[in-house]
Amino acid sequence: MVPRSYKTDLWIDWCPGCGNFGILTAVVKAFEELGLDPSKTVIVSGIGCSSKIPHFVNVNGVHTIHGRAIAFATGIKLANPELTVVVHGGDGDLLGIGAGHFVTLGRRNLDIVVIMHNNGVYGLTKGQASPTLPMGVKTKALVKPNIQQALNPIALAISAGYTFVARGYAFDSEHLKNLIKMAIEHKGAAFIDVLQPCVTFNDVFTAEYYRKRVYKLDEQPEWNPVAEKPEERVEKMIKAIEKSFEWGERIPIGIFYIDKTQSTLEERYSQRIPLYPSIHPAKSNITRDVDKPLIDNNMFEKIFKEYIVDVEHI
Amino acid sequence: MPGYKVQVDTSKCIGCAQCYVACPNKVFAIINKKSVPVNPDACVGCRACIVKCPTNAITIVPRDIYAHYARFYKST
Repeated sequence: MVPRSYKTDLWIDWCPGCGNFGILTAVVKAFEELGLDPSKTVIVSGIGCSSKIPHFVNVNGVHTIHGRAIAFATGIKLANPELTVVVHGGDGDLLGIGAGHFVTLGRRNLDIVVIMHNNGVYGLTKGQASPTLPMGVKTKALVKPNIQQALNPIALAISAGYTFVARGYAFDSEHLKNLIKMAIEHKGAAFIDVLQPCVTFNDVFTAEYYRKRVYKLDEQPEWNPVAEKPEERVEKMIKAIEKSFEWGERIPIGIFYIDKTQSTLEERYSQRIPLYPSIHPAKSNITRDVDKPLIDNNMFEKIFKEYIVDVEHI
Repeated sequence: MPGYKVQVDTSKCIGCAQCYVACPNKVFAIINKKSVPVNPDACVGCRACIVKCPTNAITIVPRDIYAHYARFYKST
C-alpha cells in the first residue's frame, strides 16, 4: 500500500514550542502506520487550542461546540460503526464542561479513542486554571495560587469504566504513537491522557519539568496492566489508580489499565437488535428508485389508518 | 513521515545555545560553539528555535505541501 499523507496544507497556528505539535506528529505517524482510510476515519474535537487538530489532519473532521465532542462522536460511531472515531480535546474541554459526557462514554464502553491534551491551563482564553492544575500552583496568568484541587484524569477514567487507559507525553512522539496505535486497535472506550507543556501560560509544567520526571511503565518488569479475567479486574483497577496518584519527582507514562472482559455498546445493542451491526443508519436506504421517499403519503396513511382521525376544519 | 528538515547557517550561528534551551525535543547540540541539529528526525516543526535565534541562523525546511508558507519557517 502506498503511504499516504495525512497532513493538510493549512498553516499550523499554535505557539512556537507548543506540545500540540508533538501530539499532531504522533497522531499523523500512527495513522500512517495503521494505513487508515481517510474516508473511514473521523476526528472530532471540542473547543480549545488542542481542538484545532481536525483542520491539520487530512481525514474527516468535525470541530464541535465546547465540551460536546464525545456526544457528537457517540452519534457518529453509532450511526456508522464502520468508522474509526478519534476524539481530541483539552483538559478544560473534556473534564470541565464536558465531564458528564466523559463519564458517560466510560459507562457505555463504545469503541472510541479519546485523546486528552492535558496542559493544566485554559490556553485559548489567556491561561486560567483548568481542572488538572494542582492546588497551590501559581502559573503566569494567575494572580494568586490555584485555590481548587486537581482532578486525576486517569483515576476518573478507570472508575468511569474506560477499558483502555494510558498516559503519554507530548514530546515523546515514538512512545505516544505506539499508545495511539494500541488505543485505535483496542475494542472499547480508550482514553489517553497526554501531558503537554503550554509555553505561553504554564511556566510550572514545562517541557524541561516533564523531561526530567517522566518514566515509562512498560519498562518496569513487574507492571502488567491487562485484566484478562473478570476476577482480575478489581485488583488491576486498584493498582492502576494507586499508580496514577504518583506525581512529583517521578511521573509514570504508559498503559495503566486494559480491560478485555467488558462488552462494547455495539455488542450490547446487537443483542437487543439482532440486525444492528449489519444494517446501521448510515447504510439504510432512505429512498426508493432514487427520488421517491421510502414512505410516501399514501403508504403513511395505509400504515397508520387506525390512528388517523378526521377533525373539522374551522 | 511528517518530515521537517532543520538547517543551521554556521556562518551566522554564534553558539548562544538559545535553540538548545528552547527546543522541546532536543534536536540541537552545541558542538565547537556552533549549534548542530544532531537529532533531526525528532523535529515536530514547532518553530520554538526560530523565534529564539538572535541571528536568524535557523531555517526549517518543511515538506512541499508547506512551500507556500516557507516564509514563516525562517527567522526575519
